[in-house]
Amino acid sequence: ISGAVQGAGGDMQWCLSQAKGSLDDDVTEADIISTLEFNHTGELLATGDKGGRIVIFQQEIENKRQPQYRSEYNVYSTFQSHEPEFDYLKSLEIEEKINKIRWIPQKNAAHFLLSTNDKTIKLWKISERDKRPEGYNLKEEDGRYRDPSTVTSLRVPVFRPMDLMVEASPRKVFANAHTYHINSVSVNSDNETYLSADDLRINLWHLEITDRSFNIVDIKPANMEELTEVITAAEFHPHQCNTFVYSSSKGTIRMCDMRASALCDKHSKMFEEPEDPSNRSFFSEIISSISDVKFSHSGRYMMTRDYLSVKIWDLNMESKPVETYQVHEYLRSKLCSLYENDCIFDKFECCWNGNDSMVMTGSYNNFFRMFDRDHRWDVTLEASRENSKPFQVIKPRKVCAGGKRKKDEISVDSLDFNKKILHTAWHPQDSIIVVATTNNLYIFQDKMN
Amino acid sequence: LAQAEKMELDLDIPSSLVQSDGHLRRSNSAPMINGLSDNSQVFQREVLRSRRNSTTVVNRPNMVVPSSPIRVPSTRLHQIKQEEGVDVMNRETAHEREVQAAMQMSQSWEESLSLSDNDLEKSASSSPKRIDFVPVSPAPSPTRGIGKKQCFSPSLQILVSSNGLTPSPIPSPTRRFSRRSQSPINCIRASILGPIKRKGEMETESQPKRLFQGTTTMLSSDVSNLSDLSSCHSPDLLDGSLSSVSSSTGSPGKMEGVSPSSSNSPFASLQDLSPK
Repeated sequence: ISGAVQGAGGDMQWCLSQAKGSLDDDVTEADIISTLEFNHTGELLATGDKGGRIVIFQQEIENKRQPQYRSEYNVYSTFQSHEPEFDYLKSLEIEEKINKIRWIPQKNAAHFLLSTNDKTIKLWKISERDKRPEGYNLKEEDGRYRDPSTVTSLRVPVFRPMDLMVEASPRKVFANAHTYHINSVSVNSDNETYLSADDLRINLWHLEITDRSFNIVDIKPANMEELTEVITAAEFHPHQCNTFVYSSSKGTIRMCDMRASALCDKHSKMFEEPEDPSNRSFFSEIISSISDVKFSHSGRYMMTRDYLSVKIWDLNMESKPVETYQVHEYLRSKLCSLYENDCIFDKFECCWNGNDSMVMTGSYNNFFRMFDRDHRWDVTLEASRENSKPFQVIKPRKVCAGGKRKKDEISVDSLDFNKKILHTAWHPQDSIIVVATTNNLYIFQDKMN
Repeated sequence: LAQAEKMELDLDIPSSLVQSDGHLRRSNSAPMINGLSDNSQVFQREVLRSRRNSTTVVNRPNMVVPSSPIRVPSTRLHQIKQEEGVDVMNRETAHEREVQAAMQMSQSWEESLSLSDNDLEKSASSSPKRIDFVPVSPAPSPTRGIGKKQCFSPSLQILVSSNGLTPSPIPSPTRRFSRRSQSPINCIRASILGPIKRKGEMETESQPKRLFQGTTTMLSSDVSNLSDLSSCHSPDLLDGSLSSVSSSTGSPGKMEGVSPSSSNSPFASLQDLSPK
């Protein structure tokens, strides 16, 4: 078992708090979770799925004053964000799958989020209603109009409490700005603008303005034959509103400064690690493709996820990452098979914990990995109903790469590559993590919260 | 040794794709057909298999030869080059051909698998000779939906109309996904029961999975809220009976007549295991 119990990460004991989803092994495709995002306080957790639906969970904490409080996430709102559409001009379907959800920092009682599918971004307002007017003169309580002749006296309607109702309404629709598939949205720290990135272009929007956006990055060459890479992810810097980064399918990250020019095709920094010649193979470029990029909360670092590893970059050093963590190095010798079954193209995401001391990402067989940066400690855990009981600390797992398999280890060949964890999220303040398997959502809490 | 190193991929690989020496043959371009057991319309997205993971592989029958050793990588880069490179007319023709082939294949599957007695009616309504290119759904204007509120009641755990009245739970027939889950109202306590198989009691082959069972069946214990957490922690829960939780909360008769909910609803309540 890797990770002697030392340091912060080693002290953590994760217990399964909740598991949401069908007990069926038969997965309804529409319910497959495609994105996961906590809001800035962690009180709300939004999930988007392939069917275009968004479900928001709200954290409810019991025994808040006690050191070992438990919190639970329950459904707060559910709504259909995107519908399938058809592009008649290109004879192509537009999937309603939600690719990304990003919360807008809260300014008033209502919550706002951006959700996007391949083509259209929507700004949703989620607000609560817990009072309703009662005592109308001309209407019955159920809304039917009364016969005016039966009205003999007048009264003033009053607000009475009602069961909490959560309303989701689309406030803005940002459409028709992307020729290719949108892979990222990112809200700027100025709280006024946001960017949306597709395979070849990045646009800058104002949250209030839907009929136009500025194109700030365009990597489409005049001759498409010359196209060698696509944009895979983009994000604004958490504090510097002029700075954003975008990653590519060739393993590079470019940082751009919007003050430098209107069109940021020329990057101000380019982060790329030279390839290790001993590891070169036919698949080198494919596995170097970055599937996710995330700034640390501090803004000093950024993390990238490629197929086999997680890399932490210091924004001041472009030549190589400061830390590299192997997620599942045992797959390097299996790349051919993984190419055959398309798994090599899986896009894993990654996330930071609240104080940037730990990072997490998913793997196969419903395994996920956590790395403690300060104490050089890592662990493999499993999201599974069978192996988890409430309040029981979940056991670390270990994969046997070759040779003699020890008792609790699982061999590489027994891994289930259909069970992949692509989306994980870490509560911004508490020691709560959420992990999405194909058809279930697992919420773990640190026992020593 | 070769056996031990062979990777068990645990996928639905038709045996025709596995060669005699156990290695996978390269897949051909035919879309994998699934999801045919229900009565949803013939033109199904799954049949087209036009998207996989988050990248799109568009295998055009006239461009990819099944036995070809060269396979188009499933990267966005290649797909974009493909889409831009081929002129629109060819692409549309290829797409139509692909759709037609897929429809024919799904037709022949449906006809051979159908349990319906009324074969006449079926074949009349879905002739394989017709080449109607029916789009999956109309392309609505991008401004559609502005101002349309969707209201959800956390206490009832259902969608409600904005004036507070509960609408009919029957989903619109024009919705493309005919199978849909309820909101994830229930959490599965981890103690549970690993191997509860709820499929057996609900599914008959001729019956499509119906997820909207109506509002009353789903309520079960999830009116339980935080005050019930202490009872949730009781050992009673460990045998996985959610109904025992709800009865201890005294929730008003909502469990009466509740069928252990549809196995087809994700996030549905657990099967009632309490001794009868």
